[in-house]
Amino acid sequence: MEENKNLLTIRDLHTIFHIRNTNIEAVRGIDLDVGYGEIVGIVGESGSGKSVTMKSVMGILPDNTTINAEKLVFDGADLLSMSENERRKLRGCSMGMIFQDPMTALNPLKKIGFHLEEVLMRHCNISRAEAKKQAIEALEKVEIPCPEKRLEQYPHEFSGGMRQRVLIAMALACKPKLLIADEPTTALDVTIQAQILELLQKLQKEEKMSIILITHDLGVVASLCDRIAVMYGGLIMETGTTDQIFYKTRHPYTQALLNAIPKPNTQLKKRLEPIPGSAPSLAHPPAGCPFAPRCTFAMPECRTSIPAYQQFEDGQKSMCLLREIDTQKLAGEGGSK
Amino acid sequence: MVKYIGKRLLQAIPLLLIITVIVFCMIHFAPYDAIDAMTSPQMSAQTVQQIKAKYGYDKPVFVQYLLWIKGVATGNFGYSIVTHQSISSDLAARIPATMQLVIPSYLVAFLLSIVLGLTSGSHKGKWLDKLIDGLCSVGIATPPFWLAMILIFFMGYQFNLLPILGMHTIGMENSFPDYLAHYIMPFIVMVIAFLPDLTRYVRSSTIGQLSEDYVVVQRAFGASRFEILSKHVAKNVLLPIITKFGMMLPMLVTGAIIIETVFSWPGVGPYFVKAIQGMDYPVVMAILILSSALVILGNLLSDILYCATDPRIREMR
Amino acid sequence: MEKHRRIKNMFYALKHDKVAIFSVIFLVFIILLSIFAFLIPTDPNAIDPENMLSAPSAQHWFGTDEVGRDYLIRTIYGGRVSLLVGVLAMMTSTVIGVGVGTVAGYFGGLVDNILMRIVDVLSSIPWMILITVVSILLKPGLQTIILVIGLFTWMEIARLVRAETLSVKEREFVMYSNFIGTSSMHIVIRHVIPSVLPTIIISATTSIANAIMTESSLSFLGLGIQQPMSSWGSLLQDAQGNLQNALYMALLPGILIILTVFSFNKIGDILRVLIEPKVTAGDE
Repeated sequence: MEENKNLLTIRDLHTIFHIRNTNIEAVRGIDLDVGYGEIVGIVGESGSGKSVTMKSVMGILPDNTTINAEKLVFDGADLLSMSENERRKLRGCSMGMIFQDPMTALNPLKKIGFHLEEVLMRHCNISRAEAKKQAIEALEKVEIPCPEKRLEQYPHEFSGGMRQRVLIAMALACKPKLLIADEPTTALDVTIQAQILELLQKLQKEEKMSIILITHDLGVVASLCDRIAVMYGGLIMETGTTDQIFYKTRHPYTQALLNAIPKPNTQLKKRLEPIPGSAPSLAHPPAGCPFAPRCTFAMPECRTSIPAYQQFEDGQKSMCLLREIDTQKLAGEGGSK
Repeated sequence: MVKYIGKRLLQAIPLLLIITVIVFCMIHFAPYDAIDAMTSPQMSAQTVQQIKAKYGYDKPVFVQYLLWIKGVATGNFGYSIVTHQSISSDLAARIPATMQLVIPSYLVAFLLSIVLGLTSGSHKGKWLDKLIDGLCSVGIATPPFWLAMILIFFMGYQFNLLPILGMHTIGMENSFPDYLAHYIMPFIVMVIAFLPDLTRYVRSSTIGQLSEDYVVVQRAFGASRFEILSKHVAKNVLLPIITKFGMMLPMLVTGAIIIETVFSWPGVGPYFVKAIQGMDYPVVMAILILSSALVILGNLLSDILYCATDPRIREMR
Repeated sequence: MEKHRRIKNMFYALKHDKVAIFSVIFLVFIILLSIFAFLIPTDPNAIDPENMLSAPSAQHWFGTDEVGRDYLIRTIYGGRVSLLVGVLAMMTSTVIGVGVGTVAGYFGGLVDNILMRIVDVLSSIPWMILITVVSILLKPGLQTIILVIGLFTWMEIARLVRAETLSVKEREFVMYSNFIGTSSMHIVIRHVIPSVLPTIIISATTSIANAIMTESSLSFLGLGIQQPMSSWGSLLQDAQGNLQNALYMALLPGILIILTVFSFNKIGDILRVLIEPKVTAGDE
């Protein structure tokens, strides 16, 4: 069966926030598979539900949320039937997560050593002395110089990029099978971004783990990911391999995203192409395809009901009634490079 | 960091001096003073002059001020106009009594507030939180002296369980149980007086910490809610509170004025109130200066404690 | 849009918070009662030597005091004084605080320095002591107590207003205003006051609550409201003398103080929801 081949299987995931007397459905029915050793990118605008999806899988959303899914299986284990305690044992151990803002992710009053040793002692059942040793190894792995000295320092003595490395070290300390990276480079300078991504790539090869990379930046996924899922309005619009997404785009939203990237070889007089309109309200989601109001190809059927997924060769899927995108119709040059 | 302490001390001294001037002026230029309390319109001008000379009121203002300051600096606060006793020795007898009341009750309130505040903050919005926070709101609105009266009525008059006045029953000065019996009611009222404010502070600090990013990160690394609360939030919340300890300093003298008066507990409170009612200016001035100095020192202590404990600030100084 | 949401949030909070509803109702009730007290036929000063210290009964709902006066009506009139002191003291301290704060923040430099030193000095003397002392230097009574409380509680508002003024001053439109020649007072009034107003309103509610507490304490010690006027605090002072025989004399004014102070603080909390967006934490 499919599930055995995959590290993570998500079927029909819905996540609802209960705020005061309104319900906001941030994730409205996601299917996703992540294979062992695979790097999957989840791309989308703010509010598309990409972070919430992964936080639902981790189980770290606040109390006022409801998570429903037909299937949520990790490494052969059914997450839905687990107790909170069992799920907690997985977090930081076989599934790790790093977040967007390294500046606020660490407790400012605790040393770096404490952060690392705590995670190690919690999951790997070792003594503090052993944890300290492994902490030093972890810091070396993420290329932080003088790790012994660094262990005794506080977060404010580290730069943003360094802190993110520490967080990566913490996430990898117990050799997880899955690393979820939620916009890990968004808050960092461009040069540091490249370094962090390189580091992730190197570590993935060494540890042979799967990575889910969440970002709004298509450039980031292009270099790193095997497969990409594009999210919008709480739903996945398109999934496919990186090549398929970039060169054989099937969904108008994906195409629009690609068009919106400024390209270095454009004629100077060309305007940038933002996508007109704004993201849908999650409190009052539209009846049909969430992208329909902003879509150049929208047909009346698009607004009445959410389209079914269309399958293409080699596993590419698109949630759109179109089979082909007439790239000329989208103002601007052809979408693919 | 020593430099910082030195700098702050230097800043504090002019502040203190200004306060002494203000206090002195306030008392000296008051429309009615202790001399008036001792003289009557029938007395001859000569008699009045003699009385003034006796207490040093005939010298120029400036000289009076300097003499007074000199005295204060050497620990001599002068003499009470009404009782003719040395203020320093009166205070030396009374401050310990106040301290006996203030220190234990503050510490107990402090410990209770940490437990209640952490519990309340981590269950924000649920019934436990609403209960604790609600009780705090009521507590803040309750005049301590009223509470004292109610307690006195029930424990003292109605059920005759506890004595209602003073620190000892006459003749039983060495009996500890007797002391305790006198002690317990003012102690309870003091704890209840301190508790709501402290609890609210801890609670809001807890809520603030729990909404920090690092809490979510810790959850992502598998920490249980209890672990997060005890290992991370509690320490981060305690830190600013320890600095509040600095503010306990002035309370050692003035923290229980009204309660002591209600219970006739022989601390600084009734001494001060009596001095006020009797226009006994030297006493009033002495207590004013003492408490202001303690406030300034207390602030300084808080700052130092904060510097010493927050690693981020330690570097900067 | 933002303001609309906040107003909606406030009413939502109000509607679902039974305690808040009670507070509002109670305050309206007690204020109306105080204003229209004169309509009640009972005379607060009518001495009735035959009925001294009688417990609550059908004739005297709250009983009588040590000279036979109806206690209910005395409590009502006492409440009137307590509320009056609370409101007027709040207004005094607000006016002083806003004045000092805007002047210090706007003019900066030496003026700011001096004013802030004054704030420091006044904050360094424990206010209970300060208020007690000053209230005996002046002739004790209603005006004194209002003045004294108002004079020694403005510091916090001044600090808040000064901070707000400083930040408004830095904003570009103020620099532009200066450039095109609008007068400095004009700028201050038009820009600083509206942005400070929400904070002032919230601190006004706590100000009233604190003033009522302070007045009660001072009157209890005999240093505040003097006979024949009475406030809840001074009623409690009388009650202390008669505690053994007449518990009700202590219970009533005390409970009213608790309810009033509590309600004012509660209103302040609700207003904070409206005014400080961060308080509705938990959404988005």
